[in-house]
Amino acid sequence: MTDDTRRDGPPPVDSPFEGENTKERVYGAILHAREPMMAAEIADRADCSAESARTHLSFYADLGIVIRHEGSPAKYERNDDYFEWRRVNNLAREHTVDELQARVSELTDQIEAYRDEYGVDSPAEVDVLKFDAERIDDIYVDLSEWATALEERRLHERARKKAN
Amino acid sequence: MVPADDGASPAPIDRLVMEWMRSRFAGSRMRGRLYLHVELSGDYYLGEVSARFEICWYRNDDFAVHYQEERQDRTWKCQWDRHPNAHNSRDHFHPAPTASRTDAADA
Repeated sequence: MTDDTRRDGPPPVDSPFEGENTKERVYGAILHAREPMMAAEIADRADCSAESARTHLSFYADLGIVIRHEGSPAKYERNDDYFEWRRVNNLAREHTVDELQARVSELTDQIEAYRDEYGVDSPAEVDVLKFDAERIDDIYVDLSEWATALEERRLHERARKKAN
Repeated sequence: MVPADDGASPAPIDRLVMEWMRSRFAGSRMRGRLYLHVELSGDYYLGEVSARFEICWYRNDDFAVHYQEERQDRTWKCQWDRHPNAHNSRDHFHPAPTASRTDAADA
């Protein structure tokens, strides 16, 4: 049920992330760079020097993981196109066309059920704040799952075309 | 990708952030309906307690972090949330022991 590799007793509470290196922390910070950010801001989040962040960012930019926006200073942004491409590739490699098609149909059913339930075409059209405070958390989860299903269907459709 | 990162809600799950978090934990896995399930080590608890986190992260950086302990006689839980709502600020906390909605506090 769990990864057994590191289960030889709990790690010390005072330094739970000791094994983590700067490169990994910069990667973790990049995932939250949803708009262009300066290396200094990313360094701050990754708890490293700006110099060190720049080194890793330039490596990640070469790989296509971040988009580098030239300027002074240069800014960096998570490259969603790259991650999407990677996900579609993995789906196409790991599944047959039939499996992908089946998943697309399943997601379409889910999406239609949400449409019927809320009476609108997309989750963005639902005003969550109109619902009772008691139900709002559940509705928000629902709408996020709806948004997730829409995206998943799009990615699975792309993968199906690729796998053909 | 859909511009889900403009602070608009609701946003889809952020699979990448959850996979990255998952890599930080020894005992975690992604569940079918996407969320990160983290089993906590019983060694830190007195008596028979099984404890877990359930984490969802979204592409607009909203999140839901649920903590739950199964004790012999009862369940003890609380939850940290960030999402638009009418009961509290976007960042809020549902306190233990029941992660109550009515007692939620702004964070």
